[in-house]
Amino acid sequence: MAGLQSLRATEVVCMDNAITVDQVTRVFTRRGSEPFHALRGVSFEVPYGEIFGLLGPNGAGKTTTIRILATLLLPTSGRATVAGLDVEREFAAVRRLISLVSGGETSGYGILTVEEQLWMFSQFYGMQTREARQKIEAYLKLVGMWDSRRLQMNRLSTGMRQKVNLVRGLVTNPRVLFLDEPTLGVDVEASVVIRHIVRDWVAAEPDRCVILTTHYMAEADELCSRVAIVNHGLVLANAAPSQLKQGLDAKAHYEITLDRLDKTRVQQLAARTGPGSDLTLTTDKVTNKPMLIAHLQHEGDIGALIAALSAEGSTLEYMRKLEPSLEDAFLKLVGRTFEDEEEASSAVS
Amino acid sequence: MKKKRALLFLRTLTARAYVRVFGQMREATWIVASILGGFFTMATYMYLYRSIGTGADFTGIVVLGGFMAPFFANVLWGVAMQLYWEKEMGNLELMLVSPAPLSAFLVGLSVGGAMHTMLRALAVLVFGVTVFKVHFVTVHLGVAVLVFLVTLWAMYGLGIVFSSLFLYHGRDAWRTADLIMEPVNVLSGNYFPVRYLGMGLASVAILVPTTLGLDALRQLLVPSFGPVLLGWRVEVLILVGLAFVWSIVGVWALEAVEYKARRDARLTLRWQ
Repeated sequence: MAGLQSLRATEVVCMDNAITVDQVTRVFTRRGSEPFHALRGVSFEVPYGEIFGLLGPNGAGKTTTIRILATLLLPTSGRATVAGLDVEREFAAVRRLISLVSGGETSGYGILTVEEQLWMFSQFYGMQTREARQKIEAYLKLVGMWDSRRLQMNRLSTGMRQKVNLVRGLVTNPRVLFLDEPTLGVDVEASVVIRHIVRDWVAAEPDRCVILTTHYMAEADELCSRVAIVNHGLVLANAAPSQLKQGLDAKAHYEITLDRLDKTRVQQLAARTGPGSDLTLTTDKVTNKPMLIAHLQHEGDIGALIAALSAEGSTLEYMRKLEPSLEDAFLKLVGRTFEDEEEASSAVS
Repeated sequence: MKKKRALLFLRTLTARAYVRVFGQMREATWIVASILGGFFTMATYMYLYRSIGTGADFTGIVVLGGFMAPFFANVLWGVAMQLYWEKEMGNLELMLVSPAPLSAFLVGLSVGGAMHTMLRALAVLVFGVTVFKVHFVTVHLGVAVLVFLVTLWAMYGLGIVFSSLFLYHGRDAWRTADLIMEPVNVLSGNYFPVRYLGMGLASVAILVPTTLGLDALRQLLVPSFGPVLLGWRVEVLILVGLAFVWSIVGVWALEAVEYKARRDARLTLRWQ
């Protein structure tokens, strides 16, 4: 490991950005079929200390972007760098600084035990065995798999295997960790552990960075400091999840469950709440009681609505503010839901 | 920097060899099947030659053929096919993403594979000497060991060349390996003197290192056996040349195939 660290010191140009992607395109050509434009001029930058999410449906270009940054693919045009190093020309130096963990990964050898497998991969990065073993122990304890260290890989569940894959990615102490759908097909407990560790890992050192691709909007929302929404090889938006959601509309949305409400009074209630207010009366599926869906022009209008309800003699039993989600942001940008977009893409391909 | 690269190469080599040597030792049934398979193939030829009364020299060359044959099988199925299998298992992209060169993985595979195959090869030798009472002249045993090692070097160098080609061929790799296996067994003269192929065919066969290695070993360990191809000293020189050529071509082919993998995106993905 000392060797690896000195390699870093001598070869890595200190840059502000961990990743720069500048007008990168990638075209796949196959005999007898039309060229497929997987990336159409993608650009973004990721500073150190950030978990950056690439969000989009299948075939959007997320994995192609990661594969270019991880030196597995050449861009057709444009330029990409990792830690200031060109992924096309300086790929050997880039590889010392990166690690890749993919979802549903079945890498390694089933016949090896968990700790043998992790040791083997650490050797591919030139780590000294003693240091590798110390790190393997620390990370296996962190993911709660130290007691399973002597289990053969082919005996592990999907969740356990993915935890081992994550440990493999972290043991070599990369500066940039690529996580390609890391919780794909993984149970809830393992997903929580993986997300927790990724967040702590990137926060532990200032010169670390994670590039995450995911299908799961909630995962991106929870983990990422910034998200690029990608579709058909284009970056449609690149901002913090909160900014993406705030940019949707300025209205405030509420769900209010009441003990009773006369449906003929809804229009009058809307008029008394404020201009532009839109109220819909429905039924709470759980309690079977009247539920008012309120879309208010201003957040402050909620006070007027509660006062109006009180004047009507309705008692408020439950109220929830409806926050816009990344799914809504995607819907606004693409014009279709995530699932619809995936179905449309698979129908075309 | 050179020292660090050399260390990285050695560590990668050791780690990959470890999987072959220790990992596969856990498959006890595979070991038993492998040893028994070698024994019965050798026994078939032993009884054939004895039944037609060819003399003790022929049984000696059969044992040496049985000793060398599993190494070429390992070169073909354990080294040449390996990058293709690594791709199918999803390991190839992790190997490429790591700083270790592909050649380090394949040399590790070769070392591990050779050590693992040695078990079957030695079992054949022991069966030959103890069960069939085959006698070898051990005056040049040291030289014979050196010839064997050079032959292994050349064979596994050829395996590295094949591994790039097989990776490039993708799904056809399996059939190609199957296609190569038996003709090479014939051209190498595993169970008969290769001289009987005639000099024309034998001169083609010398591109396969087993041919010359086996012929040289037979000259050194069964010196009374007559129909040789070339003098063993000449054969060793050619083998050293082959070892260098296949190793250099192998490393070049790996770099070429990796570049193609990155450019065309068709070699590292499982579905392609």
